[in-house]
Amino acid sequence: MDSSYCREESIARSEFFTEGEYGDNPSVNTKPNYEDELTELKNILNRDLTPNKRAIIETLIYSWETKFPPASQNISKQSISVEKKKSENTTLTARYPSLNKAS
Amino acid sequence: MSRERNLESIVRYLERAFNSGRISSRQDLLRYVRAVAEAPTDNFVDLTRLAGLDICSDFSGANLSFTDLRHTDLSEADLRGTNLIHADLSNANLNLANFSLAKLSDADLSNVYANETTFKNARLLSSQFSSAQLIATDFTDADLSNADFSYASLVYVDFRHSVLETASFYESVFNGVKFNGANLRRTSFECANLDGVDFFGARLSLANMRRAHFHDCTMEGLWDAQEAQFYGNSGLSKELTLALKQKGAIFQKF
Repeated sequence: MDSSYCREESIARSEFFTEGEYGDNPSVNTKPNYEDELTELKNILNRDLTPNKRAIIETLIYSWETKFPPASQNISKQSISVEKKKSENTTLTARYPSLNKAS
Repeated sequence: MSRERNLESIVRYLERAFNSGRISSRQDLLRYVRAVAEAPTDNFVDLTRLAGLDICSDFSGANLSFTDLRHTDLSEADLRGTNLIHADLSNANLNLANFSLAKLSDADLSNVYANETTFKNARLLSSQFSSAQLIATDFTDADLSNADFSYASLVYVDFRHSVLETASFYESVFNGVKFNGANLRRTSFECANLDGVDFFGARLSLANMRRAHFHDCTMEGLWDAQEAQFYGNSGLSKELTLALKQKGAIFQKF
């Protein structure tokens, strides 16, 4: 077998499967870490809920993402804006070298 | 959407959102969901509070079909595009609420207070507005086919370009209401008190206007009045009666 093919496949697999989840080793936990919460949510949704409770639970689920965005999203947004400011500054100083002198 | 399909789509959404990490604090979400599911009350306002939601701003576009919202204070609520099919809103306070593009077919809105409420472009087929108090309510471009407004009080309500086919305004009281360009085919105004109502450009064919009382109404410029039934009316001048007859209205005891 072509060794380069094996290496590429190995890289692709390591990128796709996160550490500690999925894999060929049966001793490794194959459940995603959110499985328990998802199962319980499914069980609740499968219950004979009143229309009021069902409507509020559905609204809560669909609005959760917007109301409580993951912290990583905030960080990445912040870093993007910092990067953007940096690049803006670079562009400005490149255009107007006198700005550097002034600072 | 059936309950099964709705359930499928929410589970699919949760799987995708959990898998991609878009939903954080999964335990917190579960805690809130559990609290709502196991609450000893079914009161919509109490459940909303338990869920940490805001009744005024968090339900725009939501699915509230078949919900029980009787006597609920929904004043100033943003319910644009919300699905309220078969919801029971009777005796609710809807003052200044926004129901633009909402789906309210078969909803019960009897005895509501809907002052300065917007129902622009909403779908309100077979909805119940009996004994409702409506002041400066906006129904422009709404579909109100077969809606029931019996015994309602309507002041400066705007029905311009709305569809009111087979709707009923039995014994309703009107003041300064606009029906310009509205479809009033087979609509019933029987025994209604019409004061300062503007029918300019409205289609009134086959409408039931029997025993309706007219005062200061604009009936000129009607699109048509073919086979509209008039009988026992007060406040119609000879000139207006003649003009209506020319548009095809029938004046006789049925």
